[in-house]
Amino acid sequence: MSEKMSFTFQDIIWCNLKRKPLRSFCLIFLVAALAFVLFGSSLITRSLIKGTDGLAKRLGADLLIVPRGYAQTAEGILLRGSPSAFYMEPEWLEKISGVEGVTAVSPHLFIASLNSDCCSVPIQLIGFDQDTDFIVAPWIKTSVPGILKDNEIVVGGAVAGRVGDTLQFFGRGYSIAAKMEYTGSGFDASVFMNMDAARIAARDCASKMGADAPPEKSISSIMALIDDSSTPIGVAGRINSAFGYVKSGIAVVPAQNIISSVSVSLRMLTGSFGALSAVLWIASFSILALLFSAMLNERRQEFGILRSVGISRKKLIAMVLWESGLISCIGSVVGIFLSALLLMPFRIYIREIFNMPYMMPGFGQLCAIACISVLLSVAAALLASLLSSVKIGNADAYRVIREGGL
Amino acid sequence: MKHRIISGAGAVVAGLLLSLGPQFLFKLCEPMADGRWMNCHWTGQAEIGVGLLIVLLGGASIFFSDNKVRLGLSIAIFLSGILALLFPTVLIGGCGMETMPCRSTAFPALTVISVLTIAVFAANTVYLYRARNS
Repeated sequence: MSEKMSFTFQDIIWCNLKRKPLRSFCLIFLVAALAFVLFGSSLITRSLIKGTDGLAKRLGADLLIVPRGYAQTAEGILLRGSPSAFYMEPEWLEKISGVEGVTAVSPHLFIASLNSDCCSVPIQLIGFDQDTDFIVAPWIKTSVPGILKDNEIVVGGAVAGRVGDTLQFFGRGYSIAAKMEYTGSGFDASVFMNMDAARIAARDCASKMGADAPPEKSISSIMALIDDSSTPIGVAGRINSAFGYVKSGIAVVPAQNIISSVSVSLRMLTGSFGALSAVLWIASFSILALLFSAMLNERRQEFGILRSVGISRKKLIAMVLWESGLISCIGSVVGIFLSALLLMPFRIYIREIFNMPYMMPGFGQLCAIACISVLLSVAAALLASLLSSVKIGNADAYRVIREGGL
Repeated sequence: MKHRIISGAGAVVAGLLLSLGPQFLFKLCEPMADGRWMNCHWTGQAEIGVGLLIVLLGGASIFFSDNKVRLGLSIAIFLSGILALLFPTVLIGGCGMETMPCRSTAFPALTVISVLTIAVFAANTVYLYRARNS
């Protein structure tokens, strides 16, 4: 008798779930699938947004000037770190700095490595001028002791190695002097060195590949800053009219064009993921409502007996809601765990699939996304079971037992 | 009986994926131009060993019906899962660049399989321990 007295409300709920394991498994699976998609799509969207924001901040220049025909290649270096090499004459540095509205210019020299001792894939080597640089220095995580020597490099956030380690390029050893912050852009997989070292590396590269050495003092691109009274498109127009659009042999790319091309893709992806989540939520809600209705209908006699032994309507509704709440909590935790387990280790692969800057949110944001996904999944299950549970609560106990219907 | 077959077969599948996956499914990096192997190759070799150990332990847990033996095998699979996770992440590691095939696909796949093995066999161990006590 005393054992029967200790049989609590929670025990009934737990026993109901254990009594029909297949039914409970199906309900948990459905909520888990919903939570998996909600968390996964939110995490991917957030990572793409953060990556694009990181790129916007990372670019740090208003205009990018490259040899004509290489604008897409330069975008590939900035967005994906796709290794490339191209050259333009160094005189353009002076010419561009003389254009009205341009306040600062800094050259870069791109070299695609064959491989390094860490990897069998080419890496983008970038030479930068430390005297005029406004791109690389703000993103260096650890301070560089003075000026970079010819055998010193700064590595992107995704390149392995710690400060003091040595990496080999074209048979020469370079010591890592500093590491950059992770930005989600192509520069994460790049290695930076001073201009003199980059020119030596370019010659080494040419001799290894059996190609002609690049022209002396040549550069690959110019990053330009403009004053507050000018617009990037306006200054780009001035450069084109001053030197000739086609005749000059250069292409002027406003940085906002690179960002906006990414932003368009981002908007499309965000919209698709949002629509997918909404459709899945509605579909899950409908299926759960049907399942709960069928499940509760099947248990009509059990509820009739519970009512007849004195359990109140309110208590009966609470019991059904607790059952669906427990199912949805277990399901959403499982779904989010599996989604995180899949998406977090595969972040580099996902970035390669989308071909866009991709940066995982921090721990706080991850927790927030997980909480919102749990709330939405639990809400779907609770709302789906609410209608049927109210129906049960309102039914007359005698009629339910006698007729066997709600 | 059903539980025994499901958990044992699960371990066999996980072990096969851990040992054969890096060789055939999610490929590791090719050797360098000078013929030297990179770190990820040795991680793959270590995974062959630990994966086959999990296959044997999983197979044994199908055939042994004694609860205490199965509990011991479940703990062994759980610990082997931790070892399988530590090879690519801590003990040996992989290539330097995140974009290398080992870091972008093979290691994430090994991480997912290892974590699932650890989680499932931690739960299985608790289940068998409770069943033994009850």
